Amino acid sequence: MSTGIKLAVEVSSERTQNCRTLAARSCAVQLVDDVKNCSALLTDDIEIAESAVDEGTSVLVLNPFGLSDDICQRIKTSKSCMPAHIRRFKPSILEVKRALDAGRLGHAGLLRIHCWNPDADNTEIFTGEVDLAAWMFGRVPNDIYALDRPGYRQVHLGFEGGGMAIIDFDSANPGDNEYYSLSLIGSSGAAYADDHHNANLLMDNNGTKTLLTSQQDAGFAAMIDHFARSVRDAEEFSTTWCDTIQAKTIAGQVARSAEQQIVVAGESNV
Amino acid sequence: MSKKQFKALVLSVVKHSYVALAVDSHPQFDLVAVCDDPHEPDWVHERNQEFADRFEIPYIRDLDQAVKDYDPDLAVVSSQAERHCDLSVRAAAAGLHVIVDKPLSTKLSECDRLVQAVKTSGVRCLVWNRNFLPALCQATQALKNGAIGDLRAIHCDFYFSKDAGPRKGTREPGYPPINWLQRQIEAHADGSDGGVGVVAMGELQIEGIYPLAYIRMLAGSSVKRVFARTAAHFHQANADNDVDDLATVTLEMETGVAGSLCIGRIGAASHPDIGEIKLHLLGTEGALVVSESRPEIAVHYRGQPANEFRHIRVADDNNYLLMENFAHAIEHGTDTILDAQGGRDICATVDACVRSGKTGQLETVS
Repeated sequence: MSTGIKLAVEVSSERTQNCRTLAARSCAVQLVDDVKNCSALLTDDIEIAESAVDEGTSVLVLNPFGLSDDICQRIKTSKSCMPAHIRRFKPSILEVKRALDAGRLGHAGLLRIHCWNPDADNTEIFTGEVDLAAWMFGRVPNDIYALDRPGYRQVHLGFEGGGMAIIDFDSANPGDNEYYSLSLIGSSGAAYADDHHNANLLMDNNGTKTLLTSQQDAGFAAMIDHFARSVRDAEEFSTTWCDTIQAKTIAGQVARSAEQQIVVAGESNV
Repeated sequence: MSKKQFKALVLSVVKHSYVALAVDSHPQFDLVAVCDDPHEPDWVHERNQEFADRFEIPYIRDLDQAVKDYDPDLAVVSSQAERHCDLSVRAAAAGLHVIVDKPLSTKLSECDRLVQAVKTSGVRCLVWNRNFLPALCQATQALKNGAIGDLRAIHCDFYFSKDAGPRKGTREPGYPPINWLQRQIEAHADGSDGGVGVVAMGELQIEGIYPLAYIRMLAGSSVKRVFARTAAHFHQANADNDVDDLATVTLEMETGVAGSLCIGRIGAASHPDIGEIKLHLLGTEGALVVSESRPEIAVHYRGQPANEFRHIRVADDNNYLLMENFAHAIEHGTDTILDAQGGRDICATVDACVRSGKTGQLETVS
């Protein structure tokens, strides 16, 4: 039986309990309270993260897309520090990527994402979705065009070899309604991860309502598990700071396209 | 009181016969003859004759003669795509109302000619579409009722999970490119000949009118500017003829509504039914996600053929409602749900999309 790595959690107080609960689900984790007595750390504080890395501790850094370019560039060579690209670990997204990587879908041709969320303009969500596009196609886009409307942004990406993606973000939907849909069309198959397919019905005195079946925090738990197993087994993390820098660069190009209403040529900043 | 009966002249029926069949199935319309031009190739005459035989009506290789002999009220045009407008113009000039199959044309100048001919002759024109599908009617009603407030953004996914001949990359070295017309003629057997004609057409041109007609109707607006990415991703015939089978489009509408379209002929393996066709609408007061295929039922059984759809659409009144709309337009001089001008505007949008796909730049819709 494998021994779990000693993982400490050092995040803002309101997130602590949730992070500890999710970390405790992993068989590769042994939760500890003392940051000084851990071999791995989960944190949303980059200063704590950098200090820990300097002391030889493996670190999973939450909210990487909000960090400055300088910090990302400084930390990118570290093999013991993993940026939390949490959206890659959502169970539905993981299955789509597995199907693609296994060759079942052929070459990726078209990626479509609808991300409707009151926080859709949040940097972590927005850049995280752009990161998904680059991850699915395995490269940065050649062409970028973005359309902005109040509370809404549409991102259109063209990739070398004919790949294409459209992502739309909406934060202006009234109420707390959320909707997420991702479809990936490949040359020999397609995958659809769509909330519309996962809706149940509730009938009460106010009529019929739709209940979306949530994946809840399963993605977060999967990400911590991946981090812990990678540390325990001395394997490379699946996400790197180069990925983070790349996604931030694309997000910046998207913003420029939207602001200037022009097609922007994509380029790597890694 | 019985309603007026209309006599329909089938003016070429070489692609699918669904338009002529839809006309025939409405109680106010009767097919009286099939006709076409005499100089058309043999395969055209064979298909026309076959349809005429099936309905036990004459096939006449002369439009003027057919009009003279049968005094029709309307023409139903379902020829090769590049002939759609010319035949429709000639029918309109003869005083016939026109139902024309999609795509309206491969050339915008031909669409303009049709718009003018319909206007000059004072006849009604219906460009075939699917705007009366149950899910579309529901979406239209929801918008009209203010269920989501004012529309802010609209998106359509329109994937046909059909194959279209050999897969891309399967042409052996030394073999010639696939001839578009020959491939379309051969494809008639399995119904994947939506682009039949001499001029090669991509999926945007062949099927784009359906989703763009949805968007036009629901947004109540024309498209001002587009940005498109296009590719021949699946099929050798498309690659050989430099036309798309997959595309993404950003649509900037005249009203400021943001739109987008994803369209492709994505192959039979990519969906258990005809394909994922959905609409996403964002309004000031809410949002709407619509599956075009509903209502539908599911049928599964042992030994089911792999290419048989698992879901079957039901209560589809599109054909009937289109013909009701057309009959009403003739009787009351009203516009049809998609007239020549609307079809022309969609053709202009498609034209801009194809240009944008090639230039990689924003293109204005003319």
